[in-house]
Amino acid sequence: MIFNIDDLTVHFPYDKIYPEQYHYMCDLKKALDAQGHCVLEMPSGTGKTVSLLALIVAYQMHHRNQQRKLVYCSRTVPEIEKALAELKRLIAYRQSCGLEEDFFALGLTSRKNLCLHPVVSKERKNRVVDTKCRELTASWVRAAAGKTRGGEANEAPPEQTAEQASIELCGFYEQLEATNVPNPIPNGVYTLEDLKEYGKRMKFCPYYLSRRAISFANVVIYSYHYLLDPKVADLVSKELSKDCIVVFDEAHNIDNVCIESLSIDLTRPVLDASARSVALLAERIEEIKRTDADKLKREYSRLVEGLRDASAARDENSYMSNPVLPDDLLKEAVPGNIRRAEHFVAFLRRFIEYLKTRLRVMHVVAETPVSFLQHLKDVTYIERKPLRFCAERLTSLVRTLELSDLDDYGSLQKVAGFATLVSTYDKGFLLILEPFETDTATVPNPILHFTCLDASIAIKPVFERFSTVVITSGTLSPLDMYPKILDFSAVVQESYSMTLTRKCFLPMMITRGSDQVAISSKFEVRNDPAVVRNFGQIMVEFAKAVPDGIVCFFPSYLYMESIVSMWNDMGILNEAWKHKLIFVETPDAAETTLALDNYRKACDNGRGAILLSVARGKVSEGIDFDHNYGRAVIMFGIPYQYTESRILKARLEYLRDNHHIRENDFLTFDAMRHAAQCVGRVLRGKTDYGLMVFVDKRFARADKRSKLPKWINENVMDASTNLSTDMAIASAKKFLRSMAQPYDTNQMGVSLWSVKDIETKGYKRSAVIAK
Amino acid sequence: MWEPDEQLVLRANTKYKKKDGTLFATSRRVAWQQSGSRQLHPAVPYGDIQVQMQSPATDKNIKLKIVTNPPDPKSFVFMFESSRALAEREAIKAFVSESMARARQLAGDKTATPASVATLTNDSPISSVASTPAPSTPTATLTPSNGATPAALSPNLNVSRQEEITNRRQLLSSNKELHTLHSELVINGRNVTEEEFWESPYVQKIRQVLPFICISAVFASIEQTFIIMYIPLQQMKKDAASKEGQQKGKSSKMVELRPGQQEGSDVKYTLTSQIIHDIFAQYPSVKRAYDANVPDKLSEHNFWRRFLASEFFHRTRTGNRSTNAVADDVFDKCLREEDAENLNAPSLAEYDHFKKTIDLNATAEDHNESGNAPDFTMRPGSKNLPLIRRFNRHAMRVLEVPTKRRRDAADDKEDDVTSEIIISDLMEELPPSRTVLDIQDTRRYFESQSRSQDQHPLTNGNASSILSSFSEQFSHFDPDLTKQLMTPRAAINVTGSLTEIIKHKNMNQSMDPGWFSLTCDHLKLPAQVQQKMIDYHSTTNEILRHFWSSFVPYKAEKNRRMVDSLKRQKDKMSEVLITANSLKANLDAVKHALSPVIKAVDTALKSAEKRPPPRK
Repeated sequence: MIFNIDDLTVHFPYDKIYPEQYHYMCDLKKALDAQGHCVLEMPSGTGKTVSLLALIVAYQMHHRNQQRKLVYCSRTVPEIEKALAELKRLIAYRQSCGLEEDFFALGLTSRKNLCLHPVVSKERKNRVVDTKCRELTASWVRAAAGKTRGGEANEAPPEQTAEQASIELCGFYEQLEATNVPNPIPNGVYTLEDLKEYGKRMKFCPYYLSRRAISFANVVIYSYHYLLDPKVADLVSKELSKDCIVVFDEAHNIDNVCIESLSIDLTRPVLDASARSVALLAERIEEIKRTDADKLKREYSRLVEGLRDASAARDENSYMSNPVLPDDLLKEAVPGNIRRAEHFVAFLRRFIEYLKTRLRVMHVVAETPVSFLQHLKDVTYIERKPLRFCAERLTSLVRTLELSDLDDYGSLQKVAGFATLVSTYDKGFLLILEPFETDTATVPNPILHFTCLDASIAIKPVFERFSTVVITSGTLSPLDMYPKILDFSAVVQESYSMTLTRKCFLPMMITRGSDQVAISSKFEVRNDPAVVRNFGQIMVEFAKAVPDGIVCFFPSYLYMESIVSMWNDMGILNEAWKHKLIFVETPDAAETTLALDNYRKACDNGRGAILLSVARGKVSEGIDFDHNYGRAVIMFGIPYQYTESRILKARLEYLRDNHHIRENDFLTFDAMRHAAQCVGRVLRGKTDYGLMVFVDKRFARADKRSKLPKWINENVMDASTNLSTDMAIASAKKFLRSMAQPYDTNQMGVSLWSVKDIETKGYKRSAVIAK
Repeated sequence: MWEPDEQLVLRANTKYKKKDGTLFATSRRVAWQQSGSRQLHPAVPYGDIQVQMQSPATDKNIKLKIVTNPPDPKSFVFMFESSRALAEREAIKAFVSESMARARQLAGDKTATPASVATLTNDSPISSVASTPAPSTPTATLTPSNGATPAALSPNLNVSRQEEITNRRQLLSSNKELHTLHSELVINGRNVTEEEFWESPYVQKIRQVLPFICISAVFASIEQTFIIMYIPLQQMKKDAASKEGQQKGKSSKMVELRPGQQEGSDVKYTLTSQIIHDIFAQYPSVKRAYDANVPDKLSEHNFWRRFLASEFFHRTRTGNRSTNAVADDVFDKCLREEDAENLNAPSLAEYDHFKKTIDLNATAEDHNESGNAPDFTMRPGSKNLPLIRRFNRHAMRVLEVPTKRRRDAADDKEDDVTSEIIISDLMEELPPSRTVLDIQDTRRYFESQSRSQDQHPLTNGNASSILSSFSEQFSHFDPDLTKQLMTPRAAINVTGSLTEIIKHKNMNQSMDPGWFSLTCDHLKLPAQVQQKMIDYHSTTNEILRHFWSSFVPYKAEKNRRMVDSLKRQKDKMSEVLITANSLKANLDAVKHALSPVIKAVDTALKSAEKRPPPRK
């Protein structure tokens, strides 16, 4: 359908539209026009992505002279794939409507996911793929093999010697390098799969192809980390212009991504490995000194000029990435005491030794970066400034030494990154040393957590640099929380309710078992056999009553594992097996994917299955359980974080002192957003239906309920907030029976709009708002 | 006392002389043991049994009477007690009669009547199921396949044979149509042999049930005896099968081995063939051990005995290590293999291509890990991981489908992302694709149609209004005859074909005056005649089927037999007519109704004549 929002013509690749989609687009447009940030909460499964893309693409095409690029960030690769597929469909629709436009969009992911090299692509781990890729594509390797840079192609290529020919290179990369066209890929929308397909056909390396093509794209889709994590963002997102439209989809967890990208853990193995790497570096320096001393001298003089120039060469070989440094710092000369390679190595050695001694402390220490630096200076005379350049200096050295087997240097890189971060930021970070893993452990396994407490630090450059940042998800309630913790101001802040002609989902809160024992995942009672048995009984009863798939979520891995084993002993699992198959999430991603695949198979062939997984785990992020893949989601307990964690405690304290958020508010907010996220995945579209079951007596309390997204909360009936197992089963059965009836009530005009409805109701709404 | 190498085949809880006990059918004899006693009394070898009798199936008490041979005839009456009494009796009865026949053949007693079962009451022979072979008519149903000497009969073959027989009997009792056909064709008519009857595709189609046999094993811990017995579980007979029906999937339950009855210090486990199959499916290591050791190094009995005593078994049942289990090289190896398998993630080499929308690994490898390690509650512990892996593996094995069927599942990889992003509500609904109306009983359909036509009778109230509306329409009627509604060519075609149809219809009517009358209700046939006609019709059809199946490819002997049967069947037509006449039914209607069959028979006979006589 084609309709107008104000003066903007939107092509929407469906025949009808949900009212909330229309409102969502209107608000989004407002934010774009105002060039400001916005926070939009849209019910799960009502086509958020397609509305967003339809509007932004229409906007881009309408203001073609502005060239505002869309940078769309999502959490997971499946979601990236889906967004790309949506975009592809949208563009196809626009073309079928007779629009002829040059449009280029692509996704970006790791080498591991894109590699075509017959040997390298067989590796399972991204880190290994990266290393192997470098060994084949680094500039000095290629130079050694007699390949010249593209720019110097005019010179007659020197004859390849036999020795040069024996050096192995990657054919896909060479083919790509050999093309002189700036953007060697025709316009269109490329999903990750399409990109690989194209690469295969043209013998191009899809990874480098996409990196190169980003600057030409109208839309780029990748995961958060590529924009938020300074180590990655520096590589791929540096050249994005200021007026880009940045979208964070499924952004309910964005603060954690921000924090993760700036936090580092140092352990004894890491330090030992980096000490070894330093020794290797020293050896290599000696070797270079003997063979090619000029190289080191050239590097030295470059470093005097400042890092900015030094980094000119970086694009080519940017494989070792560093945390963000402020711009002015980059222009400064690298401090003299680490300019010479051997001095720098000695410097690193001293720093690592210091860290090792710190790990020997047998009691918990928490200190700020300032006090850490002070102590460091007192003991080792290491100043703050050289420390700050540590990561950058290491990159430069590695480049000079032409090291490509960087797998071993991962630990050293971590230490250097730590050095840079700890000396750059005074506020919002904390160092916590934990000599023991748990309180009960007796064998020390010390970890030095360098933890970021303030999510706004990592995302600050994004908000500052880009004029419009859209934060959107199915669960962002309470809406004012995100501007607070991410420290920005939003011009539009909206939560949409779900218009329904029939209630297609039923949220229920089970607070008591059938034996009237209150059930809760509260720490004191969570392993009580009565509670565990009641949990199990709920699962078995729902397995009997609900067709096809059921998904159960637990607050943590530890708890899920102990419950599963207790259920096994109690014979509850055997009971459940009579009705459905059971799959359990495991720590291994591939293994869980296999379980998930089988789970879907069981749902498809009618046998039905139960999937047990963890609320903050891999499955809860980005896997949909729509239609028969999930007729009920059961949330066992409230998915609070482990409150005894020192890192969490530190963060709560920081939030209280700096953002005025009370500890309990944040904890509940955090738990409820994960619960809502788990439960929201059950719906896709309004003809789909599903049960949302919250099992814990604490869910009934107002402070928990109020933190559920608006669209869920509106549909919670007071009668279903305090149920026992039997009552819940009875109403679930009733609900399922009514849902199984043919659905022929006319939704048009109420929960579905045609173009006509948009014209009448949409304008009425905007008129109301105008008043 | 048990005799050496005697095999226990069936057992059932019965009362004998008002005492509780168990009736055993072994490879040699029928024996009864009072509970609590070790004595087997009475015990009758099969050779000594003259006849067995049963109470009718409708009777409240389910009894089996066994009468021994003269000169000293004794009779024993066993009353079956359990909830599946009827099923148990049927099984034992069938087995005993089979064994009797074998015993007799072994003794060279060719003159004796084959084993047969008599009902205790004098009801009509066909009234009760079990008596399908009437007492006086020895049939092939119950005797083992002719030709094979008993010695050559492997027990397995016997079992499947017996199972087949029980199953057929069950079928005949449950399906009236089959029952009539069977008695018409096989028992009364003798024009089709038993085997031919069951092989007919039509009969196979009706057939939905195949027997189900279970092996039950008794494990007595003290005596270390191990006995396997076979119990047909009648209630599980809902399967099918003559291979074409829908098969029941695997149960999703995990194998649950619980000790069964506990008699004194003996602990008994029941291992049915299903359970053994499940054990193999769930613990491939046991299957490997079985394949490696049975029967070369261990007998099957010994294998399972050791299985039940092993630590492996103990641990899978209780989850803990047993304290007093003896070391067992075979099963300790299984234990180690199983542990190793569960300790590691399944090898994913063969599952390389997951659907893009659920591939969690792609996300994990999208960027390198960063941030603080998760706290210990979010770190998957290793303690219960093997258990979880076992569950996933079990569920996966249940889902595994035979390779031949997997092919069609693996095609739609292409569109999987697109299909997941589309919201179908937002699409314009397409009109549902039409399905062809399949009316089972057309007569009633047309009846109701004709009735519905008269459902709007003119009433005085609306007559005038209808009239006025008509006149209104007519007054404004302004024919525009110059405008062509359709091309003349099309009009001519339509009228031409219409005339053809009408002509054809008229001709048909003039030829069969019955056509019209049959469709009317007032000539309804009496129920009895109708039944008779239906039987006649289906029987003839079945013979026709046999005829044509033996026609191409030509099976001379059978075909000739079928020709005879068809001729006989044609004569029987008069029988039907006589019945119809005696009941004052409309003979024309009957004739008319059966005319297609008769025509078919004629055609068949004609083509049989046309076939050149076989050259010798």
